[in-house]
Amino acid sequence: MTDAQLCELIRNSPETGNRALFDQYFNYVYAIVCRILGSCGTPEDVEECVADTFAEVLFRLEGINADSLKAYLGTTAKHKALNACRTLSAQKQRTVPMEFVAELPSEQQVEQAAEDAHLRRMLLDSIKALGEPDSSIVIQKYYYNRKSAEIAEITGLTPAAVRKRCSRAVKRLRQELSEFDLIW
Amino acid sequence: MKYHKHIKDILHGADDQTAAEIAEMTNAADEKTKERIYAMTCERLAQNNGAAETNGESFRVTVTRRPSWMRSAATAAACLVIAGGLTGGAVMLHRSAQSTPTPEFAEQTKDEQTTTAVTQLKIQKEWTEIDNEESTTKSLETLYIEKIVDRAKEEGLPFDEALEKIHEDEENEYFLSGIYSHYVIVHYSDGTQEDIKSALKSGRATITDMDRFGIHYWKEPKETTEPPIKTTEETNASQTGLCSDPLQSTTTIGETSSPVCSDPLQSTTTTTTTTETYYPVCSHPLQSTTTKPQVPTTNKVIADIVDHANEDGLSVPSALEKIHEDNENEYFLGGIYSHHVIVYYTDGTQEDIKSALKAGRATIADLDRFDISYLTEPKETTATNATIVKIVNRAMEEGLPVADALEKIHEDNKNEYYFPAIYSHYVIVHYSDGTQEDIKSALKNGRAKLSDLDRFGIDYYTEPKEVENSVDPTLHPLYKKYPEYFNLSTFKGLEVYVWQMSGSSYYCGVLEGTNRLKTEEEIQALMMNGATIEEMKEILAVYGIGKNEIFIMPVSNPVSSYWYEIDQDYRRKIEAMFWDE
Repeated sequence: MTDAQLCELIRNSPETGNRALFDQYFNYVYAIVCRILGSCGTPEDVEECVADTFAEVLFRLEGINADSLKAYLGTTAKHKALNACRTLSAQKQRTVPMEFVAELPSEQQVEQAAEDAHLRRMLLDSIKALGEPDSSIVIQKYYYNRKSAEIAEITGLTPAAVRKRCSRAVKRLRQELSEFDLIW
Repeated sequence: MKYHKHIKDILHGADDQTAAEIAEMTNAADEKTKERIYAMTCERLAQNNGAAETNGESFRVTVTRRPSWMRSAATAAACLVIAGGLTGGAVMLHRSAQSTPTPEFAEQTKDEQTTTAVTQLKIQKEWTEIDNEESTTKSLETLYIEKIVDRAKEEGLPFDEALEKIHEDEENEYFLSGIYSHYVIVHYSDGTQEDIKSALKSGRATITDMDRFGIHYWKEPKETTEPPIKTTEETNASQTGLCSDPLQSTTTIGETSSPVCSDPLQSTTTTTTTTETYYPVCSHPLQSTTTKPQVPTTNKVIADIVDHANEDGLSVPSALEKIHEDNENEYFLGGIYSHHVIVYYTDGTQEDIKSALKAGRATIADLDRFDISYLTEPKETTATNATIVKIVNRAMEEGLPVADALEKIHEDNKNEYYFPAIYSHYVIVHYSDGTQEDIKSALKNGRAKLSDLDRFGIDYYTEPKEVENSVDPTLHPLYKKYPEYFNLSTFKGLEVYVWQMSGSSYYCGVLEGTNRLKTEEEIQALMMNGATIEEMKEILAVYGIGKNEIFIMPVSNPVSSYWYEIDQDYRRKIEAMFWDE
């Protein structure tokens, strides 16, 4: 369903429309929130932030350009997550990582950022090449910070199988990306 | 290319586009979680809509004018009520002063007073003594944990080394690795605090809270009724009536006597009467005789090694933790979590990987065998006989990114030497034997000299060391009390951290100025030996530097329950304490 169709559906039948928008963009919003809050918040904080994002976007839907719905969701999610991260960090007397705050990297950081992006691209490609369900397991573990038991619930495997598959997958990835000497 | 980055950091450093790509790869959550989040969304949306409607209505209120007689009537009524109240009060006071209460009334009043006093006491207890059972329900409803601080670790406080049980649930028992639960302090939102053991006992804190705040503990599954798996050694030992635990057993020379076991529960009937043989017996210190060395601990058979930090997604401090080294390499974990990497032995015992590696009961090969991730770093070269072939500044030659700040690379009696930016790791010394290392290590170990830097055209700054006032600071009367606050470099100014312990009690400590923010640990270390403001003024006077080089920084003491807000006004007030006469 396109963004325009989604907006139309929400206007005609808010309940169905809201659900459709949520279903379509849940993974996207969750992934963005988790990227920022994953390191400083709990899974509950992430859930709260995702719910806040959808509630805000649905509340302000009338003023949003239908073509930029995804971008608006992404930006809202990012800002909500950053705010939550700042609040949580203040509570814990920690600092917000500079990579989230500094929107414009300095010249010196550009090269490092490019190297990181290159590595990230290779890493993602290698993870994708693992195939299902190993790629999902690795992403769940290292991106969404989930435990083996939780991953087992999502993938329909047993926790032991998840552990085994994960360790094999990591071994393969480690071999493929050995030149980078990553920490796993 | 050496990256030394954790895969999590690489993935979390992704841009939104990559996040979108990751979102497409797998479901972000299970259906139950998704439904829960959707329900929360609907709830919040309804709240937003409700709030909006309420706001909208406020604009639709119509303004009506009351009839003028209502104002006079209302004024008269109010006067009557006040007059009545005053008269009634006066009468009541008069009566209570004259009349003595009847015994029943006196009893009742006494009861009421007692009840009130008890209630007041209870309330006081609720706020002062959080342990009180009665306050638990209320506290649980209103309090939340702001932080849990392990003072033993952070402040290096001494404690006895023994496992201290702090909690248990149906499946597990939880221990601290030393007797220091009284140093692990739970700070609540209302400013109160208590030790972790009490908090866990009363249910005000949970083990999850300990994970959340990075407090380390040991988890031991409760013992089951199943007999433990026995190793071959144990089986043999039990068959011959010897000590069953190879770690506990030692050997002794038995001449004619049969081997004995000091523990009656462990001893079994034996008929072995071999002479001139080494027999293992229990190593009770009172029973030990001429003993041979302990049975090698390698007798233990590893059943499994589990990285619980990774398995259970525990949050761990992000820094490399060295777990082992051999002749060639050093081995690290990607975070401070060796205590979460547990080696399980077939005899049912377990220990952390660092201890196991140290004792030789586990090897690096075992880590590989059980898929435990670690990092290998070749040991630094010793290049003692090799000569320097060249020194290359890769930062300049290759235009590598560097942070803008002076970097101290060396010092001698007279001077300190700095690079104009943080790039000593890019200045590489190449030796004749083909090895290389960075300049800082080379200078530190004496393998390179500053003249070598000049020789190869590597620029650096020379700063003469601060010459303190002609008065020797060690002669200052406060030197004995606060030696750490003297002899600081004022090259980048001084940072004075001030914390308040009560309404009129202020303490402070001083550190050298730096380009970076000081860590909590550094600031909290000052709190171990805080000086009063008057004392600090005297100490600062020794340095003979201006106000503009001294930075007054109010902070709060995490251990103190005295609360104050550090805002602009507070900062001004504290600064005034130092600078106003």
